[in-house]
Amino acid sequence: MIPFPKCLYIRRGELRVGSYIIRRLLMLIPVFIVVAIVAFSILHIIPGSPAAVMLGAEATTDQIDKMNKDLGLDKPLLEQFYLWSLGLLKGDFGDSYYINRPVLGLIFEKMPVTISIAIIAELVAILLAVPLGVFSAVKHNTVYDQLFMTIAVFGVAIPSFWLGIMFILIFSVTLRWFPVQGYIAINDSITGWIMHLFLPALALGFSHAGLIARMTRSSMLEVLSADYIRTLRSKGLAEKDVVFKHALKNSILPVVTVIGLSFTTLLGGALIIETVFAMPGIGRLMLSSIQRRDYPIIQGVLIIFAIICVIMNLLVDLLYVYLDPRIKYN
Amino acid sequence: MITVKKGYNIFLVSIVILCLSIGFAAEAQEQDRFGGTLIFGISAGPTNLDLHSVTDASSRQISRNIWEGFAVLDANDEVQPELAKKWEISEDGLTWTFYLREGVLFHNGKEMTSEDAVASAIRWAEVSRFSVILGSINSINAIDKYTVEFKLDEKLGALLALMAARNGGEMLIMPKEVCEGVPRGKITEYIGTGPYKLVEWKLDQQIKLAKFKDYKPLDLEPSGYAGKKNAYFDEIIFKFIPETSTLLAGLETGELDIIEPILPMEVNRLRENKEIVLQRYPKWHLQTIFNTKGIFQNQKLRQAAVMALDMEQIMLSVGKKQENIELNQSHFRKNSIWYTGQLEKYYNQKNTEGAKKLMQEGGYNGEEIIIIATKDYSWSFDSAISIVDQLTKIGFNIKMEVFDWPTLVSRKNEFEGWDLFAAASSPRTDPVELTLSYVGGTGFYTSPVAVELMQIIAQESSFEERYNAWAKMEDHAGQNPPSIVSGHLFEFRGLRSNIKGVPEFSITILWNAYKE
Repeated sequence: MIPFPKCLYIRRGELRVGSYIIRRLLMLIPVFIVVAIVAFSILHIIPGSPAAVMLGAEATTDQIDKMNKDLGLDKPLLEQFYLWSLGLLKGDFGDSYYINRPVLGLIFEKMPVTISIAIIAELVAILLAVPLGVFSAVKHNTVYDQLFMTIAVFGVAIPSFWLGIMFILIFSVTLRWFPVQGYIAINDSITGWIMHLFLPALALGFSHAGLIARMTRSSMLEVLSADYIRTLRSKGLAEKDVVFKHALKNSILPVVTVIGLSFTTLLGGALIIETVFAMPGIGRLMLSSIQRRDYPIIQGVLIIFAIICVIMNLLVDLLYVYLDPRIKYN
Repeated sequence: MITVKKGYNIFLVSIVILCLSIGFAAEAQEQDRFGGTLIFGISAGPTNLDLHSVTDASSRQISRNIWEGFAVLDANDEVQPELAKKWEISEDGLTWTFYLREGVLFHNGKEMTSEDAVASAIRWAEVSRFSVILGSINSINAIDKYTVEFKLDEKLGALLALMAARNGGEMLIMPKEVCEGVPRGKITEYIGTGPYKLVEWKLDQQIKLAKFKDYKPLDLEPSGYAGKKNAYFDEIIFKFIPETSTLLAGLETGELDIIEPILPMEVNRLRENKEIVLQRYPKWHLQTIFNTKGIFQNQKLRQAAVMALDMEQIMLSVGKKQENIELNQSHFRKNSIWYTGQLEKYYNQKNTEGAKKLMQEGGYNGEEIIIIATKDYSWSFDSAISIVDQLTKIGFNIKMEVFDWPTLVSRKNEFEGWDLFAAASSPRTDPVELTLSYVGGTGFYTSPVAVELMQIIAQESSFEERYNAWAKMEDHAGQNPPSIVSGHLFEFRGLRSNIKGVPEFSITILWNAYKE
């Protein structure tokens, strides 16, 4: 156990949340190492050479060998890994083989697009799913419950790319309400940013709403059947207060877990949506890099996503402390 | 009373007034073409605009609006002048002198001179896909401000064709300070002499070009890449949209003015849309390459494979409809000056009995044959399926292995593990481009006859000598095939009906295009 200074202790055995955060962030180091090793190994094991792709189908073996040498790919794998890791420690993720720009710069340039889609998709999912789940739980075993849960199942089953194409046909081509494709940065135009993000976020969020709705419903059902809820009702408390002031608060923890975990899934799902709506995010960068075997970008994105994953899990855990004061970390 | 003389004078004056009116109307019409923005949706964007070394279609599509070279190819693949107004070849063929046009400006305002041309040419010779062939260049020097001299160790009659090649690796002229000593693929400033200049590049999103006001066009009839280029649009924006249904939706809503490609299944529906015009253009010629290090070292087995195949069946399995295919056994389009027709007698024979006989003569004992293909390009996968089906029916023990594109091109460079490679490329523009197909490159094919003939094609400068050598090469390739050329595949591009001046050509040519 890591010894912490006395000032960090509130009472004996209880740490401040701050030291919990530090401990969790320190866990990034082993995660970072494992992801780096796995990412590097997998990429260099799978067949397909970046040099062959760059030079095309008509390249000769000599030309490919020369390109491999220029890219440093003729060195032993361990040496390549060592050089790359050394760069990582200095914050240098290397340069893309194709794009002539530093990987980290490219990732930070593309990240806002993907994060924007993921955040708005998450908001859409929450706004759709939580009311749906609560309503289904309150109207348990009625036709409304069956209907909304069927919709939720459709949401989970329908691929987001299909939804995206349908939304384009309906809302862009037929109704002309939204643009078909593209992205406008928020600092260029807030209205343009929203208009271009809405359909992709809706397509992505709808798919995730199903899962959140079902989790909300089952968590609410569990709480609504508790003794204290029966007591509140028997005391004459209004039903809306029973549901929203008491039951929902107490059922929210599992829902928060699902929401938090689904955010990292949304980041992955953004890859497909970015392709459908031609949005210049990390997903498209990753897809084209895999197709080209642009190793530095693929490795860099995997590491950044791993870091995001750890941080998201930490944020969810910290949210628990806020939502439920009974939870303490020590 | 109107006399005959008076009447004649009135007639003459009327003619003059009519001609002047037509002239003014034409002028006014020409002025009306200027202005506006063209938005072009394509399915893939470039990662690199270093056209000395890249060959992908999207880079080529965009780059030719920005850069120019010494020479270009017209619609029939004939070399025409561009930045070089004329050239001379010494009698021994070892010295080429190029005379540059004067007063041509780069997009940064600097005048293009011989030192820029020399730096660009030296770099091109080092990094382009033709670097192997260009090894005979001894030196490239500036003789004066507008004259460049190439000194060669061996004759290279195909030099102009290599400079002007349309499938990537062209010798495009950049400022000396931009390209001198810069390694392959590492150009970071995009400055040319073309009718449009690059003003913005958002990776994976769009490239924006703006009209270059100081552009100096040639006064020649436009044909292919050659001739006069008018920059009518103020801006051209290329948007990169990987999903073809999204591309189509953009065209239908008017968000996009031009798109390519259009899926074959959408063509008939779009024909009924009066706001959209379709253009058919040649995209690929399909060739399945033999690995001559493996079982297909055996010439009779290669002949058997080619003899047996129903090429129309292969092409229809790829193109789906007759309008999307052309049964053409050549690497060249039928309107190319290099189309000889020599391969017609070897093509689409559908002679399964003859093929079986050849297989017997070749001593084929059922050895496994592997054809490699990719689903990343439907033409590869679909053509391979058809070939497997047909060759299995005549007794070849053939199996298909499918990989993604990077794995496929890596596997193709190995001696083992494959016997047929389902490939395609843009139709060729000069036989010298096929050097690696016939001399130890792709598929490791070579023969003394091929070496000798490809040498003539590379070294001789007379069109007749090169053409005759190419005709003999094709005949030789018919008997000793390096690949199975199945045919030519066409695709469609869609334009909004108010977009005019875009010729039906393999690459979408945007100079001279305007919005009505």
